[in-house]
Amino acid sequence: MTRRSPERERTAIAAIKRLLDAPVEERRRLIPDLAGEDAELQRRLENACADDERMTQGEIPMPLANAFRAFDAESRLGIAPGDTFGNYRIDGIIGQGATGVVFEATHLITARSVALKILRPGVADEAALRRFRREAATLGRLSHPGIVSVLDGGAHTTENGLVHFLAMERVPGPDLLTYVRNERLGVPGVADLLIDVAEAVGAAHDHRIVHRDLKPANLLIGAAGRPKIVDFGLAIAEGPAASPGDESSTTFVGTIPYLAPETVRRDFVHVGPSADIYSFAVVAYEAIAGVPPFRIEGLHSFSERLRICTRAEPVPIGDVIPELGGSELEALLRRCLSKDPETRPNGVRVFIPILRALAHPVPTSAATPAAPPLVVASAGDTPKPRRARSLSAIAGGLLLVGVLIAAIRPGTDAREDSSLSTSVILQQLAPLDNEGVMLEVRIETARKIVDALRSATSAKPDHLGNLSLLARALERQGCVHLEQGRFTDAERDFLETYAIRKRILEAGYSPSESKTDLASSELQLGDVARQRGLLQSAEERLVVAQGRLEEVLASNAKNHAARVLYSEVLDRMAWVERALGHDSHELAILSTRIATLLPLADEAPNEVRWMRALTYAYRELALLRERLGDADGSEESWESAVRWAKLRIEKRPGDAFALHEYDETESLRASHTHEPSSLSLENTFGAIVGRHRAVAMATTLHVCPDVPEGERPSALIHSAEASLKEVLAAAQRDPGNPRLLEHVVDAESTVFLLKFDGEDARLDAKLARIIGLWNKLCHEVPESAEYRFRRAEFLLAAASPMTEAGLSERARSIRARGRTEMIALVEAGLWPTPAIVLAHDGLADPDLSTEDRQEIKEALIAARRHFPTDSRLRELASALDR
Amino acid sequence: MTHSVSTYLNTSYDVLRRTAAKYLGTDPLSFGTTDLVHETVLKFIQSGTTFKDEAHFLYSSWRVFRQVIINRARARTAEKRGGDADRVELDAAMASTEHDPELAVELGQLISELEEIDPRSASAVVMRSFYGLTTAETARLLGVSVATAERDYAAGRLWLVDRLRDESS
Repeated sequence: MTRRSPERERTAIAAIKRLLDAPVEERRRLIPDLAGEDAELQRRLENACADDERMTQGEIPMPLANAFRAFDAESRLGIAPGDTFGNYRIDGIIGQGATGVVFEATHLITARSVALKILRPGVADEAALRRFRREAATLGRLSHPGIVSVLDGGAHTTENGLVHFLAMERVPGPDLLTYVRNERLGVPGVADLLIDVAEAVGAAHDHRIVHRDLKPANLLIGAAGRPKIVDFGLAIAEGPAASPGDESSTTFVGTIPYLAPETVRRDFVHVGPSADIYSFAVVAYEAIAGVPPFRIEGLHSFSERLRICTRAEPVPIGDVIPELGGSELEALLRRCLSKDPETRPNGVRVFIPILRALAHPVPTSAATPAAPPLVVASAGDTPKPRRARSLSAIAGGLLLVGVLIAAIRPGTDAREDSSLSTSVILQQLAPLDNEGVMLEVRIETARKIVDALRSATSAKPDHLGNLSLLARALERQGCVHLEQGRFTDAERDFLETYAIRKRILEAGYSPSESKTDLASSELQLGDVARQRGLLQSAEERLVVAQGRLEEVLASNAKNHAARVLYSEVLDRMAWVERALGHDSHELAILSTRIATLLPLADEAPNEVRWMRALTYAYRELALLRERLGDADGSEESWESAVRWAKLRIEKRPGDAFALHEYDETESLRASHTHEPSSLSLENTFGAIVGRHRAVAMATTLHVCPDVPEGERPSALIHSAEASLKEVLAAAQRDPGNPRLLEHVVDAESTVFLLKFDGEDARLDAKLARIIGLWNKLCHEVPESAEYRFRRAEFLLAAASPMTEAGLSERARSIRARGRTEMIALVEAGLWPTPAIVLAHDGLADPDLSTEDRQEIKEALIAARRHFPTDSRLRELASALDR
Repeated sequence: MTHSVSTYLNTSYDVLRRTAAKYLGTDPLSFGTTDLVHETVLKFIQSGTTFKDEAHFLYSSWRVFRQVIINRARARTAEKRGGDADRVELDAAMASTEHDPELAVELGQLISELEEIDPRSASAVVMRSFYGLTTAETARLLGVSVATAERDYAAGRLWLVDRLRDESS
């Protein structure tokens, strides 16, 4: 920010005031008098007139509105119940203070309920951060049943920036005083609880840690009915651990009336264990007597309360509970509540023998009074039974693993056979494919199953049955890793699976089954390579798998498993060849694929998956034939595609996806064969349900050139937005799942592209959000070339309608970003599509400069070096030259 | 004549609480929203700070809040700069999106500049815009007529708009 001369600014604001004092209609005439020769001031005053007119009409000029909004936005934490924060789901707010908020949260994997303390970003200056870290370190050092334990800590990036957190054991509460009141504990019960507190405070002091903020709210009753000290946020380490310049030890914080006077007085030299002893005494007094030692109730004046607590003498506890008059406890409390820390006892454990005597009164002794009830029970009010600890918090996935491990371990009947129950294992592996189960739970479950199987196989390394199960589990784990976007992990799993299966094959165990399994691993490895964008390496893997399966089928053409896998391998190969622009390979593969699928569909006339596969295979074939100039062949394939799609609706009349796919296929056919389609779009969109709706809609819009622009709003947008809500909810339930995030990005992009009219004020925010989501996705799955490609594609797509709307400046910067990313992908030489998209976008760009054209041409040259036979690249290069 | 914090505490407590709740983005009824107020007030007590009047007291409290917000916004800006290069570039391309933490810092600093050149206008802006007080309440606190309070507020806002527009161009 540029700082101006105060003199000049004083003149300016004085002039503005004089302007405002004048009647509105005369103001502009006054400007020359007020500004004189000063052109800048004149301009400022003219602006002031205009702005004032707008403001009096209730409009806040943009710069001010933005600044106020930014200021307000900075003040918010941006985390609310229902949100996910790192590995935690926020359930509610437990408490909040100036520097932090404590949330009730659940760990997404372990389902453990925790108290999640979050440091407010921005308050997180160095001192606060140090204090926060110290709390973590302090608690880490203290391991005591009476002190809350720390489970996790670190920082997590949110929309509001980096947020530091500390996850602690969740102590359900209530706090000590509430508990004492609710449970109507007599003096012995209260004293018994206080012994635990004194022990815990003593343990902290043993570690030279002073809590500094002991109060009932920080003494919570745990599930076992015993108190625990929480919130060591203000704790200081005594002695050498506290550096002299550490401001946090000299920054005041704390709570009246539990605060020792020396703390309030800022007499930090004396804030030591004795401050905790003072606070403990206040708490103990209030817990036993039911009222605090200083009478402040009814005093609303903060300063008055402060004065009484720091100056007044405490009321002797004997005045409240006559039986305690003249007792040891009364004397001890008086000493502990002294204003002078020096006169307080040396350690808090001095309370323990006295509290013990109160907790276990000897009936014959006259010295200890019988315990009076502290609160008189009202009629009909019965004490509540203590709640039993609930076990339901354990994640389903982990329970399941328990069952599995029980199945793996040799039973109590001492059977020596350590072979595994195959059916049990297979049953346990099944949920790993269930998309409804949270991804992180699935990966955790997979890991446990793999671990358990590993130890079983290491016990009996030559047991081929066990090894085969391990391979299967590893394969499932690899698939979950793949879904998670962890390509390296997935590849490692698949390579291990491959090695195990190879060993099994070499051992001569059921050759056809082993070969099929091996081909399955090759297919998986091909999938990893494909998603990384390493298409040529994917092609190699798939060719090997194809050859292996052909061997199996040569010896037994009816091998069902091999045929199914073969059709899958062909599907992937067709995809790869298409992306690589190998038209003739693709044609051969698609034909073989269809030839494989047709008998499978014949044999199982009720299985819709073959109908679906055939629909898509024919669609691809139709498009390919069209590309190759075979119009008749293309039309024929379109008809087959539509026929299979239709058959599927007949089999599953209520299936919305089937209906959508039929509609989509039919409209594709119509647009490619230039024949009219009788489909009603409204039916299509109305029928599509679930999280793919927005995506499906985008596809349909792409393929339905007849949708008039004007009909896009309302129903379509409404439907897209409803779909967005659904995908958002799904993604929130499983936040670690990049595939769901991908659906969100797709849905958001669709809504964005549908709604964009170039005038929308929320455009920027929306666009930033989508780009932010793409960044997140690319960040979480860094190895995915596909996501990087699609991010670039979105940037280019978003720029186009902006150019049309005349927003060329911003469109240019977005397009430039998209191009840079596309060019990087072209240079990586993975597959030709980025170069093709880049060139098409360049040709459609009305603003294409000579430099841009040159850049795209160079990219095309690079792409042609990688893919010399691709005719599309050649054609585009000459189109750019024209 | 100057007063210690306790003079104003009872009358200003609710205003402070409301504001703390607003600035901490919390439900004013939930537990603990008064902690920041407590902390602010106790800092004043300990430092022996005295105030000319209630407006001065409220204004000083606001400064504490302001610093909290500025610190937070600065930390965020720094993070953005230090973060993923890719992200920064895109963020820069979309400079006008979402809210910009630097704008919050700028507003905070401009109000502090306004404080120097025209303290009464700065107070009026803070009382009206941040504490949400009415013109009448502001006038009473500042010890001026309603018309003057209204004009000071308008002048302060116009000056801010002008400077903000200047900074962004």
